[in-house]
Amino acid sequence: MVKRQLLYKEWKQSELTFILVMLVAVFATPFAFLMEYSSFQTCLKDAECIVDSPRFSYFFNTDVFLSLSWLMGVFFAVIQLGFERNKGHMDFTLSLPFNRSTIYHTKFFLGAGIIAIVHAVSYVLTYLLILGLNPLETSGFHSGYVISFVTSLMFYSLFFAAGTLTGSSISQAIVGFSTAILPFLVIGLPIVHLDFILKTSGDWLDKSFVHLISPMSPIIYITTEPFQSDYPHWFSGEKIIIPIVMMVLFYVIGLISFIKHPIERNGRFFLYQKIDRPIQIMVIVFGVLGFGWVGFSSDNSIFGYIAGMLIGGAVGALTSYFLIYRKR
Amino acid sequence: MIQIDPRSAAPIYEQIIEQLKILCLKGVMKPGDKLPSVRELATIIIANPNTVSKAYKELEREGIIETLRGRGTYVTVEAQLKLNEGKVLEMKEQLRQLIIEAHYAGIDIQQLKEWIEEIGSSLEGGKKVD
Amino acid sequence: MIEVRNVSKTLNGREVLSNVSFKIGEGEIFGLLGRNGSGKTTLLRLIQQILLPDEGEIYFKDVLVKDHPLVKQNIVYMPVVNPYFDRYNYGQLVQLLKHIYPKFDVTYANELVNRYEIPEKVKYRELSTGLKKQLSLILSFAIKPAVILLDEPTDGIDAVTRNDVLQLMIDEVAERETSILITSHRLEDIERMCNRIGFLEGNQLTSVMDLDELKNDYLKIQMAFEEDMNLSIRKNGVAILDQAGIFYTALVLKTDVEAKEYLKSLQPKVWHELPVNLEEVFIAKFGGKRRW
Repeated sequence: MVKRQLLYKEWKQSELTFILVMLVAVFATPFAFLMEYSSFQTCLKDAECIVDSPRFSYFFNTDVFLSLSWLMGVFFAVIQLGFERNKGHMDFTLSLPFNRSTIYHTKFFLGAGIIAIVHAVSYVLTYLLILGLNPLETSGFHSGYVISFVTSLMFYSLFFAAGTLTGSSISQAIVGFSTAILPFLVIGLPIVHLDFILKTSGDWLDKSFVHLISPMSPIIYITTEPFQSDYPHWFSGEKIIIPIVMMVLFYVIGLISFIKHPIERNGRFFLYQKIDRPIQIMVIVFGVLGFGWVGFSSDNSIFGYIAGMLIGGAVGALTSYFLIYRKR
Repeated sequence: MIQIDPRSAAPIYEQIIEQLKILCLKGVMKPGDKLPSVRELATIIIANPNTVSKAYKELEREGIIETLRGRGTYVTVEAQLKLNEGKVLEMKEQLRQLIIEAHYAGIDIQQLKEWIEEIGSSLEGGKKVD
Repeated sequence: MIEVRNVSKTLNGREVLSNVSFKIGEGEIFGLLGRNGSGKTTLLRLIQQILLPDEGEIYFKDVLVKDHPLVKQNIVYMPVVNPYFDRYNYGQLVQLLKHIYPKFDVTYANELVNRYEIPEKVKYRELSTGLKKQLSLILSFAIKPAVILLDEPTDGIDAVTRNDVLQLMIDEVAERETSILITSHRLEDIERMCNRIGFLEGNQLTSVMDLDELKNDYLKIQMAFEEDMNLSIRKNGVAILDQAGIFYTALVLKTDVEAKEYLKSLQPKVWHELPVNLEEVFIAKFGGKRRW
């Protein structure tokens, strides 16, 4: 399914970018680890500086690379699909002697492979440093890498699928991000309004957010909350299994879409004309609910509520019109 | 050597045939001379090789050129003869047209015969002077 | 070689191609003619599977191209512009294409690049239009395809480069019986190079015929009328190529006895029958209606 010849072309296309990102990403954590160690050592020697313990520790759940690695997923998906559409290069790719599913699998394999390699090498380098420098605590080392890897892949898959529905990089990013927060919009906003209208206690609201909406939203997996041990989980493997399921889901959606998509609408917001109107309606509805919520939370009156909703409707209509319907 | 005009009304292969025949008649191409290959000629005049091939086939059919396996295409020994034969037929047809037109113009065969004698003698007379 | 069967495609709500069918055989050069925006490029993109047809199928040697993408190793499409190549120079393009097309002949490509003196270290986007087309063509031929789809290969380039490009095409066809499907507005080049042509009129493919036949099938008639016969002639569906004062030039099929009878019935003062060339047929087909 993945063709070597195509892999070469896909790599060459963005070679420089991939190499740069790989270099930075691979060395980020080892470097941060070393920096932390060296400043610890400096602190030890300085009489004015206070340390918690005589030995150095590194907490991987605050590591910059591990918390931001999901950006790689977003970035790769955009350069492999959105950029290609923007620059008019997708024609060439589709004219090659490969069927569309092969092209999809190969592109995905490349991006996922690079993400995997980056994580693996960073892990090995850091592990060597741990062996060598022998810190007291390295909490979240193994789990941090695993979760970071899974989250990156999940975001890659999400934005990749977005790229098969949209006609440009910007629209790809917007759709990817919107899907990441979708449960908040689709479930969260309505129940918040319900609560306001029915004037309930609000307790059920919090429970819903914590137990239902958050776990279902891709966006939540980039924060460290779900990784803390006292965070209420559905089940023990929740932090990994849900993203994996999401990744597979997005992969399948993207595959089907890529095979069928009408490339002639490259440059437009959505590739499928039939989505235009329904999405516009959704954006308007979210605008109404979103600004309505801002309206009543700020002054808790019916006036703010209505004003918010009107403004929201207008904002939603204008935004959706200019993004979706105006031809670039 | 050969110049084709794509804008002309005559199909290109006919133009090629005509011009090659003229070259033979004029003696620029003599019996035994080698013609460029289909591909060479097509490249020189910038025309479809199939068209050139079609022209060559026709010329071969008329006996003006022949293809020797492995060696190429040559002007035949009988080329001159065949061309002259062709010329002769052409002239006869032209004469026929002339006679028809003359008839419509009210000139009869007898009148034409008189004219032929007249023109013939004046030409012969000219020759005798040489 | 290539068969297009009952292909239809709608773009932006407009049916650009409707039930288009034709075949191209080995060693044939087929000219696709039509006005700007008539769907020629769309048809080429459909054959190459960049776009998918709404209806109909496309076959290569009786194999459905859609289900066997590997056969596209034998079909190369050269678009009017190729932005993908922009960033690369000749050497890099060779590397890229070599990996994708197993039959890529590097020696042949080098030979041609030397023969036509194309700079090897210059990025594609920095080449002139003529050199871009030449290089694209060389790379396309080096892939050794059985069929090559050329979109306006000689439009917009100087005479010398154009000659080179055409000679290259002739060599390919003569040497390897490559089939070529070419679209162009340069009717003169079409007349030289093509065996057969087809017109994309409206959204249909019409008048697919041998070029020789075209010259033999159509007739140009020059007439002179004292009164203005323009309207009545055109109302009867006869194409008028030109009108200068009392002289009218009409285009009819030789077999169209009705049209000839009709024109004769108008009692023209002058009647000359002349042969036609491709440009005249093109204008009559596509512009005849505008002859006010």
